[in-house]
Amino acid sequence: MSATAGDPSFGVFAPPPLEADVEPPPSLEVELPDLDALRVMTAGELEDLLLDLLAERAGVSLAELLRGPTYEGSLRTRSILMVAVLNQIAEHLGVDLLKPQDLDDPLPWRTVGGTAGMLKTVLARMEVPTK
Amino acid sequence: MRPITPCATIDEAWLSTLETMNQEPEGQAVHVVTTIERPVVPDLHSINSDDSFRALAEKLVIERLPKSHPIASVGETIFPDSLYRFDGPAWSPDMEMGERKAIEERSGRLFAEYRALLPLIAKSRLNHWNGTYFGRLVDWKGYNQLEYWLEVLRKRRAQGVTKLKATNLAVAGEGELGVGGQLHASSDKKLLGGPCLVHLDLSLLGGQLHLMATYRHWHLQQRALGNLVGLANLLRFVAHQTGYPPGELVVVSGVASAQHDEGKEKAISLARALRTGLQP
Repeated sequence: MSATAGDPSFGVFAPPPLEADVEPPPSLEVELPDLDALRVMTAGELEDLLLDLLAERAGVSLAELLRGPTYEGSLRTRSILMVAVLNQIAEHLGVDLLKPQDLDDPLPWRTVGGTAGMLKTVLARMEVPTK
Repeated sequence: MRPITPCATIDEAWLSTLETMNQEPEGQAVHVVTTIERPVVPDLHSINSDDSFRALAEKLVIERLPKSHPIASVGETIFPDSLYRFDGPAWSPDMEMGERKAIEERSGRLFAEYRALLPLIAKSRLNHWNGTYFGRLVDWKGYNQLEYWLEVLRKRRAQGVTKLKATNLAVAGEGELGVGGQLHASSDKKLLGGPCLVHLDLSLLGGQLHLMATYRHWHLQQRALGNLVGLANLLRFVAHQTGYPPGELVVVSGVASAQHDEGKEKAISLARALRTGLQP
């Protein structure tokens, strides 16, 4: 079914979609802490860090990000996105942060607060590196 | 065969299919064809589905069938739209090389990030068949089917612009171009269970990209709306990466089921409540 019937260009010459009608992305570059610093962060501080990373990925301000729907006081999100963000942190640290069984219960991954709790748990189970 | 009257939106097409199956004996029929005429809005900023309708559908489905997953989670197994940014213009052969490369790199980053997550996803107990549909598209034993489609279509887009201008005869050529993605191994002997989506066919006709998906078994209450969201986002992604405008989306299901085995009244009351929600 063609929406361009009668158009001799068959739609190929249609202009590309316009620039998204949003404010230009803020020049936000989140600095990730090292492993020791992450370990001593509270779940609330980890949640703030995750929110900054999400805003950076989406190219929006934190205030804009926080306009999204919440569940039990925390921003709702997508589980695959949160797993990807934790993988981003793992790559920065150069460690394997997550195990497949961490994904067995999908519920924590559906909010940023739940994911911060998961991050706190996986950081706590990592062995302290010997100096 | 049960062709469902083509609908403009994802929401209407899903609900019409559910209502039609609710009329069938045992709530199911063979060879059901569901057509969405405009699954993606022309500027690619969104799919053609109402957020409040999906929120209501999700709430009502989970009330009736508590083990159901969120619609977005189901959709992201086909295309993980939360990992891709659709802002900015679509790819075009008329762009500067640097601008084109920047858009192409976005798809490369998506593929790389998802492939890095696949070992985790595949081994989780939540995953019943060791993979996801998008995983099979970007890593079928190491082969990235989707990347191949994008390369073919970008080349075609670049060639098509010139040829159509010069000869206006490329319509037949466009019609011959059919690319597809296989999601189900020919050696798979499972009778039911994932993967239910077995093949995707992406066709270019009339200057537009059209997507056809083949399901062997389509669960209308718990899966189908999420499936349509994922398929529409996949079409939106290919349109953004190739510059071709999105056309229609068709789902052909071997068996479409309103899941009356979970309770016929649940399916009927769900459709009734959502039909009321769709009224202007």
